[in-house]
Amino acid sequence: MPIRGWNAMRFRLSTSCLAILAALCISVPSQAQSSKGAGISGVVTNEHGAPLEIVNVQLIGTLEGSATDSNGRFRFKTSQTGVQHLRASMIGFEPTVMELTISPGDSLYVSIVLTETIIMLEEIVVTASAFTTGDQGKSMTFRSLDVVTTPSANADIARAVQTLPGVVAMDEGAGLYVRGGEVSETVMLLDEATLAHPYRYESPTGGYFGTIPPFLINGTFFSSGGFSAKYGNALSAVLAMETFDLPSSLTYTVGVGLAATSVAANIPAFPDKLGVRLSGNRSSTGLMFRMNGAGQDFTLTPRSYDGNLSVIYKYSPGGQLKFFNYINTDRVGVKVDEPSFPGIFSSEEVSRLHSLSWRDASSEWLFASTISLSSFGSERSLGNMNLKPSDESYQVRVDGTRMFGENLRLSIGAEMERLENAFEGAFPRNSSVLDPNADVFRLKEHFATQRWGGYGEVEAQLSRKLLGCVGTRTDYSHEANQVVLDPRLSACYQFSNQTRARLSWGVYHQFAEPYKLNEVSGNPNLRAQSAKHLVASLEYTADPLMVRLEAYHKKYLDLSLPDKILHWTNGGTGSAEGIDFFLKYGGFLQTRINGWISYSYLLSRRLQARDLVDYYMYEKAPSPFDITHNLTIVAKSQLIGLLGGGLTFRYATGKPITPIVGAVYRDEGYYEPIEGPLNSQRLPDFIRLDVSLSYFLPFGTRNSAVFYLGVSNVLNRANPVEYEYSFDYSTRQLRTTDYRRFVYLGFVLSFGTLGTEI
Amino acid sequence: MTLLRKAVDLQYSITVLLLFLLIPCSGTAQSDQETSTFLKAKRLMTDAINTSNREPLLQAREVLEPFTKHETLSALAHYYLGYIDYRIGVVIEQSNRNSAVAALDSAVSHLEIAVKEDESFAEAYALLASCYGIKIGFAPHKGIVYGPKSGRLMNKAKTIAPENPRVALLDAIGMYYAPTIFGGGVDKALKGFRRAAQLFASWEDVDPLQPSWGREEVYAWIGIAHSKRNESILARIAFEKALEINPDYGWVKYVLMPGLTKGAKEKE
Repeated sequence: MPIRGWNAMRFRLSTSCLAILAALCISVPSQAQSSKGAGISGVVTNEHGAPLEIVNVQLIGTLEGSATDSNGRFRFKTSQTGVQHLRASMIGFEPTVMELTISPGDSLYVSIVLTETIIMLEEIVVTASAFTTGDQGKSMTFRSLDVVTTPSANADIARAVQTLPGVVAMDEGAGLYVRGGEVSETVMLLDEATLAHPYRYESPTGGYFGTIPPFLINGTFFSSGGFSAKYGNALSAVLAMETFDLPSSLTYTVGVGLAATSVAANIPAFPDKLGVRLSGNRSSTGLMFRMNGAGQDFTLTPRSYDGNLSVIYKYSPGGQLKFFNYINTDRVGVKVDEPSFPGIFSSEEVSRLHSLSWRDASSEWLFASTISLSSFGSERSLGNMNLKPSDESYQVRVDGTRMFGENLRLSIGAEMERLENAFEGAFPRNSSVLDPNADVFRLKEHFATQRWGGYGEVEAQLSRKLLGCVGTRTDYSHEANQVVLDPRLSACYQFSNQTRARLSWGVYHQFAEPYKLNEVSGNPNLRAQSAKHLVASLEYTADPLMVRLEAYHKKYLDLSLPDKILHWTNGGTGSAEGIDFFLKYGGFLQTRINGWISYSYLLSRRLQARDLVDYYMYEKAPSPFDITHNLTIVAKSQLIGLLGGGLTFRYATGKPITPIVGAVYRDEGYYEPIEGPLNSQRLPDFIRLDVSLSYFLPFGTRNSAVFYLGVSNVLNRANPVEYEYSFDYSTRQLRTTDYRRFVYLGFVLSFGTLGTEI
Repeated sequence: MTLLRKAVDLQYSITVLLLFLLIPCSGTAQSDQETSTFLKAKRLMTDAINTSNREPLLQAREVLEPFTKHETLSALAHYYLGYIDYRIGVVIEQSNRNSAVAALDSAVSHLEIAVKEDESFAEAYALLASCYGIKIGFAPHKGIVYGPKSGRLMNKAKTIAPENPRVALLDAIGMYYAPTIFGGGVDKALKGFRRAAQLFASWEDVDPLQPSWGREEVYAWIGIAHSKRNESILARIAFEKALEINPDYGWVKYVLMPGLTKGAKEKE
């Protein structure tokens, strides 16, 4: 091999410089030509008629072809005869295949039009207001690690979802209040099974944590409005979670934190065939509260146990059965100072979920079915209240999806759900008065409702840039004796691969809880509440940046409204309008700095009942969830080496409150409050800054340790909770959160998890 | 192929012998001699890489090692030593995991020194980034460590020398191997390779001591990307372009081009 001199090299390079790109445009004679070969020539243009340069034009299965020149022209000779397929392809355009019948000596001329690549139906969410997490698919908003590593989320899915636009922070809890809707208007699903009680340590605003631990979850879909017909019996929002499938390798995880210890194992018993996932978690917050000098109000610090056992059987490459079991118990005791009674609230809760899900993609249809039992039992006592409410939800669901070509997807499904509420114990006649001497109802009731639902939905690529989704669902409640019909429409127009606009409209119904339909304290004629969503959205995505702006209008009808005689009526109406803004940059391990900014502007008004003791006065007023401005900033970064840090800042307008303007003295020895104008005042604004540090330490070949330190409410701000009134309601003072600056630390050891899909 | 390799080995042995004879010379011409020796070593190394032959690479390394103590050429010497190890790790030892990892570790050590000695050495940052990226392929569990590190180093290289074609080429190679979720993919990489080719077209190697590899390699990668997109015609044109620049480019001549023909025949 000759060793060439520098000058020779320079000469060769300088001449080649002139033809760098041109070189790719020259025609290439076919390798195998014969004297009787045919000639193929033509032109390739885009859909506007402009010639395309450097297009690969080739007979499939051969090396015969050519590349187009600057005029889009190509020419080559071929020895192939008979029916052949000519393929033209170019980066940024959809490949085109043309059938040619070639005879020896032919001279064929073809015109080929290539269309610009556009994101297809398979890869895009047509409906507005959707956020997805997971590690597969191109339409993911977040990867799983983005969620888990969010400061302030405490590795809790519901809390992570709270950082998205449209979800307002009502307090320190995990409750999902979406676009002016009540917490119960957001339905949570696990493997398509409804979670009867999705929160732990339940409170009037939901609960303090989500029931399902994040390490059981493979991916989530959250929609803050305009969601598809697949989801029923939800007025405002859907959070659908999917558990992990078959484990691919043997992994163990041990976690030890200031308030919790956990273990988990993923065991592929028969690789690619049968696997088991096990986990257990014990939390006891006593030490954590003591270390942070807090928790004096607890008579029993929050503590819980949970366990999971999943068995996954893959009976064919496209078919899988999953038996998922989860149980959680939690207990808490806390001092409560009510105007009528200072006492101790104690609570013990048990949640269970058992589901058997089947998925089969062996045929042209993708079938999925779930049979589930979700149950909740509790015992709560405070003053004159001593209740043992329990709920059970039985559900059967079948979904089928099929693609017809590349441009049409049909989804159909049906579900049956039986809900049971049981109450046993004493319940205050006036829910504001908990004095042990105050009047109570003695209850031992059991209520049940059954709902059947079905839906059909068609998603279609109407043109290259327009995608549409038309669906409708119908639900029937046996107890309410009502059939509801919910049409839903969505369209997505793609200006380019980066910019798209969406429009979603739909009707949504949610039936009342079973206890509201009873003849004694409820109204058997109570109908489903309804809402109409209209959402317009504009999104720009240019990796690693994503910006989304949405405007929405939500109209409520037939809302449940308390009534002194009928107990409940459907007289409630309301509306919610607002703007949501979302900006996301980068991702965990994708960019050095990553995070997102969510801002929501909300105006929510409802017709509500003002309690004037002897009667209700109905007023249209700001809803209790009318948080005008809600801003969340999440920022994460790899600081030095393997040390990562993050912060979450949250600001929310103070929540509306109804002042107490007077009180009526009762012979039983307590005062009954008289409400002032509904939600006419607000608590001070909510501001919170949380920070976290984590250090990742890989060891061995596939093991790792993560050490973490979190500080919640770094500013030590006394965020408002509510106004507490004196016994006669003549004076009030602001009660602030017990969750001041709070330090949490721990570590997680993982064995066999690195570099594998767990 | 065996005869060719023997001939190349013999040629390298003679060249190396000559180089060793030249190095101990002293006097006023030392600087010129050093430059000349360095250049010859560089050419030796480049040609050895063309043939994917391990021995000449090791000989070139021996020649370059004394330059690591050189007052002005040290950073460059470390760069080339890193480049040799990078090639050993990526091409020659690719089927032997342990040897490949050891070579890449050695490459990282040299390149770390290169960027420490010359903080504006964009090409060393880019090559270092590429080494970390390839190490992920050998040990996926270290992706959480090397991924961000590789990204930061490449960004630094691009910031220092946004128009450097080798930086663009290494960046595109990284994109080719990175999963789509991390911003990679064949289409993105192909755009990157084409940009690198354009940059090469207007890039003039002013200082012969500086790196000058990649002009033919960029077309090899363009061909690989087209091949992956089932665009054999453009792949072949690109490979031919690579061979036009360097007719002895063994990777294209003996591996990629025959692979293209074989692939087409298999499809038939």
